[in-house]
Amino acid sequence: MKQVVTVKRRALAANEERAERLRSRFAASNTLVVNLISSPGSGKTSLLEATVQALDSKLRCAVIEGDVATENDANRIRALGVPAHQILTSGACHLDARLVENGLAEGGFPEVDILFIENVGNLICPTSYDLGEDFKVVVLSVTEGDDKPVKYPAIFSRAEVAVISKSDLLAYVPFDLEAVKEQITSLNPSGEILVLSSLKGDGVDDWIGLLHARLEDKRRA
Amino acid sequence: MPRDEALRASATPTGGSGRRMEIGGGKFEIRNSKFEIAGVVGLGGYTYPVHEMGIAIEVYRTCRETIEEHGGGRLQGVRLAVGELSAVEPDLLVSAWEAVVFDSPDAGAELEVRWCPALQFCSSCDQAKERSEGSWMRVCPDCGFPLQVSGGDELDVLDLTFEEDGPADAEAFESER
Repeated sequence: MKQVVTVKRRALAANEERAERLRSRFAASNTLVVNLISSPGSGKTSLLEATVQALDSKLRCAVIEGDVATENDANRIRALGVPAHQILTSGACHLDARLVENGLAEGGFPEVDILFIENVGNLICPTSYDLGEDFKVVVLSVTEGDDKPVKYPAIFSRAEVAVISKSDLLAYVPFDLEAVKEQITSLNPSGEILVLSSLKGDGVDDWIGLLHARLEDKRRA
Repeated sequence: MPRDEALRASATPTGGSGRRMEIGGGKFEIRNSKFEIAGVVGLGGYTYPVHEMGIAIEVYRTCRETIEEHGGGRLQGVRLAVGELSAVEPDLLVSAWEAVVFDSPDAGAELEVRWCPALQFCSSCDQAKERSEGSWMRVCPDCGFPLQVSGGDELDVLDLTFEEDGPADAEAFESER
């Protein structure tokens, strides 16, 4: 006999449950967790390099790097004296909560104030996967073109913070900054938008200020 | 390996380096734990390192668990709500689904996608504003008030249809045990 059963369950419920467990764990240790998402080459690792050097030196940080191949990114972070663990996905396009959980165990980090998770370079797939983070940051470099928010609405609507990177190249590439800000605001009216250059340092202070403020919020919560 | 056994086997962390496993019509590499798919070879030999494959497998797992909770049987179809802002492409998801159920006891089971557009809502007019798909308005076209985005992030298994195991199947199952 045929039966119809109502399910009403998130398709990725298993990942979401695991992410919630991670979130509780991060709440208990007062660790701010930031999930960085962007296309390859937009400057996520450069932003992290600039970040760990500019953050209050009393703050303890760690970085989880997600890449298809190579330890390059983790090595760049370690070179700055910050613990980093590289997750290699061998072709998979995103990190999920289980990979982060395993990465934390393998990384053996001490308790930290801020954990940065640099997702696999991809503006689409990582969007669907909760990693237990406090917020997602989408990074868009000015060389990628000024129509990207509306072309990839899912991530721009979900990331609480949008970082427009490589601002030092604004003078050399056609990139309508105001149009991009309008697109992001229409997709995410309450989101924050920062414009910066990790290489030259312009705008990095605002980003650091945002991280400090978010960490304070978390500690007060 | 039969489909269910493969699902169960892959639900147990294997530890160590990856191993290859065939599920349905696709070859999967299971790494350390269930459903971490490094690459999928199937459907003409292409590689699909896409997250739609992982989602299709999760949906199938949910279907099997639900059917077992209801006494067992053969899956006929499942309906999934997919939002415009879910970062999931419905056609790719259906292709992935076909690869997952192909050659399984549930071969031929259909995945139906219910597409859920995101809405741009004006809290001043207290109504959602018409928009053409893929285009986004910055402010309300009627009153100029900033618009809020609502919905569109659905990725939900809604319901499924299955054919209950007949008494003959149940007897065969019992005798196997």
